[in-house]
Amino acid sequence: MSRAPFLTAQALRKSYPAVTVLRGVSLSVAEGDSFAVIGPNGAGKTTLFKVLSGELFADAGTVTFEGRDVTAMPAWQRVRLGFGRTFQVARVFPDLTAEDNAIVAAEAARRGGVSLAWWPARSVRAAAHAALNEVALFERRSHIARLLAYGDRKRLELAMSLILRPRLLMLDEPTAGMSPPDRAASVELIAALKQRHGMTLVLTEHDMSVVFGLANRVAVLNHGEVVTVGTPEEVRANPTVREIYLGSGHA
Amino acid sequence: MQAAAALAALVMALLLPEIAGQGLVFLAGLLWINMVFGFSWNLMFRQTGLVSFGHAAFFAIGGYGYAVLARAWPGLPPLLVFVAAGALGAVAALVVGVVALRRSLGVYFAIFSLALSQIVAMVISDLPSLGRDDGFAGIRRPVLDLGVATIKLAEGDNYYRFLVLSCALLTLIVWWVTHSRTGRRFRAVQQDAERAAFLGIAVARQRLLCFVIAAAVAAVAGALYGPWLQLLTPELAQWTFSARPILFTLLGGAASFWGPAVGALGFTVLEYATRTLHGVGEITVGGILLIVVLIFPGGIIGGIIGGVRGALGRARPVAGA
Ligand SMILES: Nc1ncnc2c1ncn2[C@@H]1O[C@H](COP(=O)(O)OP(=O)(O)OP(=O)(O)O)[C@@H](O)[C@H]1O
Ligand SMILES: [Mg+2]
Repeated sequence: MSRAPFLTAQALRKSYPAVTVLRGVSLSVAEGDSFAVIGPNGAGKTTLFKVLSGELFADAGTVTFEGRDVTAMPAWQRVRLGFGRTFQVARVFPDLTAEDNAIVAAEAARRGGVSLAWWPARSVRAAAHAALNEVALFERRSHIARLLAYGDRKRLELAMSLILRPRLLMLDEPTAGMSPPDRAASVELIAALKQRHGMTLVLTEHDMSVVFGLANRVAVLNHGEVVTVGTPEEVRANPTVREIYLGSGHA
Repeated sequence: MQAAAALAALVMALLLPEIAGQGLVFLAGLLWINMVFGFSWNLMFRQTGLVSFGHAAFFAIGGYGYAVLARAWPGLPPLLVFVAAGALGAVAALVVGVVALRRSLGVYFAIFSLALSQIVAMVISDLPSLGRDDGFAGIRRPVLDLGVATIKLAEGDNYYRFLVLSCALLTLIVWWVTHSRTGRRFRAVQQDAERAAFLGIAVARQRLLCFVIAAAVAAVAGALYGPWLQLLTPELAQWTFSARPILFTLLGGAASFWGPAVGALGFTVLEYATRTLHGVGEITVGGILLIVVLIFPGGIIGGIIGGVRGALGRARPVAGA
């Protein structure tokens, strides 16, 4: 592969007061990849996501984005470079309507400063509506986000992230908490959105059908260390991976 | 409907001196200032989730700032001095906020703001030029030169009317900020700061901005207070005074924009009604407030809305329910 590294992690370490969660994680994601991080519960996937996206800072190691060191950069600045992120448990602004959620995102995307104007700009509303349409939530735009079904909240969160036109979209368990038919639909939706917007994806997921449906590269994390990285086929065939999954599965 | 009610309240406030005695007018003036003070606190609380225990610091900074400026440069246009007092509050909040809002939120910010207000109170108590504990007296009601006419605010009810219009303007400013695009962004930050950060919103900057606006409004309210009472005391910066906007908000209902106004009204009425109960007045007021807040966690407005819903529910039983 001759593509320049798009996102890299080098020797990332992270501890919480009582536990060391990441023990020197190194990864390299190429532009256009759908890069999945898998591993058993507690392996450190979400923590890795937090460190990569800037929600938490690593104790040691570096994160680069398009060759730039972003290790010490707070999340909101990384977002302005092109990061997007959804959470393991969908997070939207609960007391705002779906439409206002999208409008907040659309206004943030334009980086407007202080504005005392009352109504959102026409282009902002249009961008918000387009994004709601993309995830099939336009009809429910006047619903209070807190009262939406969980799957709808997840898609609203996705729409909000998309409005910012991220070049890197990080999805932490995009289908967790969904029914199997919803999961299949989500995989299709995410694949289509990736295609349409030309994004690079980094995701974690427990459901292997989702992983193999989306990812072209897979990293396996166990006890805070990368066990192996490869194509889905390579990873599936790897005996250590089988052991980890069977081991944890029968524990 | 809100606009109509607000306008009606404004007209009644302006006409009050025609029908009421001086004592009541004086009390009403305090009420309008208290309402603005409450609105400014709830702007922070409702829109960005900031809990300040030291909001009185900015009220005092505005009050003393106005008094000092007006005494030092009597030639300055009074409106400019009021604006300068607000700017003083804003600058103080900017300096404090840059430090206090970096990382420390929640209880840290609350304690920090409390400490700040106590420091301001101590400085006032220490500076002879601010009158120390004896207070800063003799604050003149200025003369407004509007080009076409000059209005002596010291005459008749002129200052009262000026006060009402100024408070209405400040209320409009807070209302406008609350409902603006910037207000919506504040609200997003209050609802989920992390989610907001992952939309590229500089959360700390939004909180700082909201804090500065709230401080500026409180400072102008303080500036209006000086010429009304014609006396400023260090207590204005103390925690007991900081507790007022919190009380107004909780009493009236934090979820509504108008909550602090209803709370301030309730508080003033209570205080007035118990004024003759020497010694036990404060306890009575405190006790009643506590009971109201315990019975109606959503404040008076929340209680009324709940009551109306309950009554409607009973009046129109849902078929099959
Ligand atoms: N804030 C925290 N404080 C202390 N320990 C934490 C914290 N967050 C996570 N941990 C611990 O760190 C370890 C890794 O957690 P993490 O959430 O990164 O794992 P994960 O791979 O995402 O797990 P899952 O598959 O369950 O989502 C776990 O043992 C967890 O208990
Ligand atoms: Mg996780």
